[in-house]
Amino acid sequence: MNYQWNWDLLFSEPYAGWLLAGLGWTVALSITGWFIALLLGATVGVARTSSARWVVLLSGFYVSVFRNIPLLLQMFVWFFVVPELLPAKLGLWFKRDLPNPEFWTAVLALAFYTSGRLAELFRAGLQAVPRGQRMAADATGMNPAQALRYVVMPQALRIILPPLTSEFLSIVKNSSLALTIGVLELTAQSRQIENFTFHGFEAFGAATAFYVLVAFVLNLVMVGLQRTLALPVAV
Amino acid sequence: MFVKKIGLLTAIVAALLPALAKAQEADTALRRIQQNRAVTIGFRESAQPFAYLNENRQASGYSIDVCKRIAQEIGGKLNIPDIAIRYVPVTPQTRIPLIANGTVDIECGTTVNSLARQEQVDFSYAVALAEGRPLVKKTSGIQDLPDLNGKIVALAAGTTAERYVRAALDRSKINVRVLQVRDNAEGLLAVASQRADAFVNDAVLLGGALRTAQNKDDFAVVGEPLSFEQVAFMVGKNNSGLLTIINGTIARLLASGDLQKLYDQWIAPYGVPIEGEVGTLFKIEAIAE
Repeated sequence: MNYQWNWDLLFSEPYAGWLLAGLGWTVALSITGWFIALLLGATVGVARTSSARWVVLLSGFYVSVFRNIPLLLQMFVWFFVVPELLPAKLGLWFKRDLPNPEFWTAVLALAFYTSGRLAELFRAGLQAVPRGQRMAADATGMNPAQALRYVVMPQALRIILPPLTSEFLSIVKNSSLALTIGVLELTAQSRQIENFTFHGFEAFGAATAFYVLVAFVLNLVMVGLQRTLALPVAV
Repeated sequence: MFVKKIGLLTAIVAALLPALAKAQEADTALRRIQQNRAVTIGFRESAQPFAYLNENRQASGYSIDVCKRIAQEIGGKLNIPDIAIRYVPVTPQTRIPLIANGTVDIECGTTVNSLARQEQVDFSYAVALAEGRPLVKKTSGIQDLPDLNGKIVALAAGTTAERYVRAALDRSKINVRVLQVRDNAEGLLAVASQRADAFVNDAVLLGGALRTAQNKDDFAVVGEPLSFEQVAFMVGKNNSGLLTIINGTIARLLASGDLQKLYDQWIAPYGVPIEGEVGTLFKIEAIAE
């Protein structure tokens, strides 16, 4: 192959700085998106197990919309369509005056997409807790909110912790789609380096290594969390 | 244990990669052309007017027409009278791998020459100049560089123009917020939807984007060029024989005036005639026999 390898390039300025900045944006996108998704997903997940039929239907609709539409498409809708639908002034603020509009748009898209998936996870987790637990909570005089907060949810969370880990890893990988709306995250920075230097293999090699590293660290954290939270008796 | 494995893997990969890079011979592309009796041209599918697929799904454009002449010249030099031309579509992401592994002999698109890129590939003489200029809404009142202060400027991701534009802005102490867009259509959209105040890119490509726009009279390409770059054809490293033929063809086409005709046919309608720097470039490159 007629290719001039130059790995030193990755350690030279400005390219090293670009990669690190890209890594920073990737982590920021993933973590911000993750916490919003967790909040939304838990809420909608609880709604999915509600006894009110219209709540179940409405939350089911939410899940279908955000889980079934490709993330790339959602990204474009948030970026190109939503600001135009808002009142003119608000739309303009969304596009121009909001600090880092591309970043926050990408966070929203990632969060809503992931929340659709998390909602189903929470629903499954909540339903996996034996019915007797809720009944026992009832019997001790807890109201439904207390039963959820103190009895059912803590057990459900422990059940869904392993799949939650893979969703967390997914959001890191999905964050690379933010490059399509102009966020200079890790993949975008690698592309940038490849365009300036034509050393694409090295740049994308470095990006791959960083993604693996982030996934590895996240995995360690989540496994640690599972160990810490494990109950003496299996649920 | 795990860490050990990763270390081993890294060591293996690191040991293998330089091996791949070794064993480079000179003029592999010419030998390949001789063997296949065909020149493989890498072209861009939507980089009007340089290289694009026309209505009949055929590769066409300024760069393609020049490369056809180059292919004939290669056929003459290698004594292959009926030399065939194969077209392989490339994108900014695939052009380097395809040249590196020998799928593509010459890339004929809108690739811009730069010193950093020359460490990876070789470039022919320039066949056009890319001048970065701002596209703005006529109502915005932006006339030139200083008017951009405090505004939002869209730049096409992955273009080398970006670096020059940033440098030009820094030099003149102009403070802007940069928005990355993916391509010309999106840059135009950003200006149209007021997401950005100006979209800076090559004037020819801007002319191309404006041609297809619905309300093109609302926009204008204004001001002095912020950057100058050479658009050239690209070949793999160590292909000086092929490069000599390419450059010779370009020089002869310029001396005979044929290249100017092609330029007038393809590029001039996009609002960039042969004058000023382009005129000078063409005079300089018409090297004598």
